[in-house]
Amino acid sequence: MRRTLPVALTFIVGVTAMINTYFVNPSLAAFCTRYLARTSTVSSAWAVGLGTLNLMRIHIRRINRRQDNWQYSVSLVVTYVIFLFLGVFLVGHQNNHFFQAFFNSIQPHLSSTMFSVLCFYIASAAFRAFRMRSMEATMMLLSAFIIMLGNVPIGAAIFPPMPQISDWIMNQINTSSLRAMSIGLSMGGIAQTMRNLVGIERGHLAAE
Amino acid sequence: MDIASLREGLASALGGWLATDANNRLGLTTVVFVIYYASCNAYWIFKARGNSPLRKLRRIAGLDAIDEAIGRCTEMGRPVLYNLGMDGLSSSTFASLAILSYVAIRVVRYDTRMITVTRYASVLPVAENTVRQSYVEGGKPDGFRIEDVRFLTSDQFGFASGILGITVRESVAANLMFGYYYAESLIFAEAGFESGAIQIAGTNNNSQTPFFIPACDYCLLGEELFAASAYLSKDRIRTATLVAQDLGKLFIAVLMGLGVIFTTFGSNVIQNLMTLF
Repeated sequence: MRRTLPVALTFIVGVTAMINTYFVNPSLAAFCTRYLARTSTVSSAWAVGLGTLNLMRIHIRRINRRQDNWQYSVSLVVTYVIFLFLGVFLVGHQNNHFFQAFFNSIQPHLSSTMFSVLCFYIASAAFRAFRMRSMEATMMLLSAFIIMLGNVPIGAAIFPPMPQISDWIMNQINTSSLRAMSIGLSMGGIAQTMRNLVGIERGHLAAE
Repeated sequence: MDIASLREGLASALGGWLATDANNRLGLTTVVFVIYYASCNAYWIFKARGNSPLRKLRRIAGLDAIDEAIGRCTEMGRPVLYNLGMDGLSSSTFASLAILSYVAIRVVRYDTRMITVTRYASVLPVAENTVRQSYVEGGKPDGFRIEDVRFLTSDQFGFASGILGITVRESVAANLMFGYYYAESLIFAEAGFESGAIQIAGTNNNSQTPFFIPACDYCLLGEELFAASAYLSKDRIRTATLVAQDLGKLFIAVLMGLGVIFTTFGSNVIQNLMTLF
């Protein structure tokens, strides 16, 4: 029952949504909008509660046991409690000016910092990728060299057709390869969905 | 009868019950493809239930290396980090969950620790269940540690910094990344590289695959991510769905070939079939 019921529900809901996509039926469309979409929203809200409990359980336990780097857990729990208090008890909740000011002066900056770290990682990964270890790696190095030169003014100054060669590599070779991969990925995605829909994929379900 | 009048005729006959998109297309091409694809699946699944031989799957080095990665963690006494990707309960996450199930069974068998992380809270209970199930099946239900299946945050770079911290603090020896990834993919991969972990990745986001290739030891390309569950489980029914998938690709390839030939000779029949209906 613990496996059969979720599989049956998945099949019924999945097929209903598919029929609603391809065929016109006002009552079915209303059912999908009113009930299926709402069920999804409600279950996601419950999941956020579960996720928060999981997060708090891990970090409070770490603080209690004074595990390595427990100080970071303290900062997480304190920040969580402050934002929870501001979001729940202030007038206007998450739209409250104080909440917004507090959030906007912390979170976007931390996010931008992490994003900016990427440029250093790209440099170190590119250094490893562009070594002439094999024929394929050499070809990749040459292509990258041409494309980089084709995208900066000095490339055209050194060799005028460089931007055209760069565009040709991007539009002909790169695009066709990516499209082939995209077709394969789409087919794979459909196959995966179908396996879930008919209950072939059951690893994530509990035992009977 | 020309194609335009045929379309008008079909639209007036079917328009009442077949949905149209924003461009007033009936979506008939998609319906025909879905019927063809479902038929291929049904045929090959029926065939797989018998004893007739199915096609052999080619080797996928990245998936073969999973056992090696877990073995390395066991020898070093360091944990495996399993990253379920940046998507909610999508097809790529389900593909990743299938691989997680395989990895978790191995981890239980070798008595190795595995930390599983997810960006979306909705994935957490499913991931928890998958890992717990593996401990039950492995005969060690008490070995399951709920704190090793973690929801970090749904914020993209908050999640990235969380992974970075776990990778460094826990000094993971294997970094497995399967699912959908965005710009943060390289942060995960470089963090794993710096901690000396063996890294295997697979994503259905084409624009992130080039970042995984230089930074990881093994990288699944394209639909290999979706073939993983059949490849790892060696299950005949799942293999049958892969054969059907190949037949779907063949259908598209034939259509593309015909399109090239017809267009070269000045006919737009295939193009009209794809765009008008």
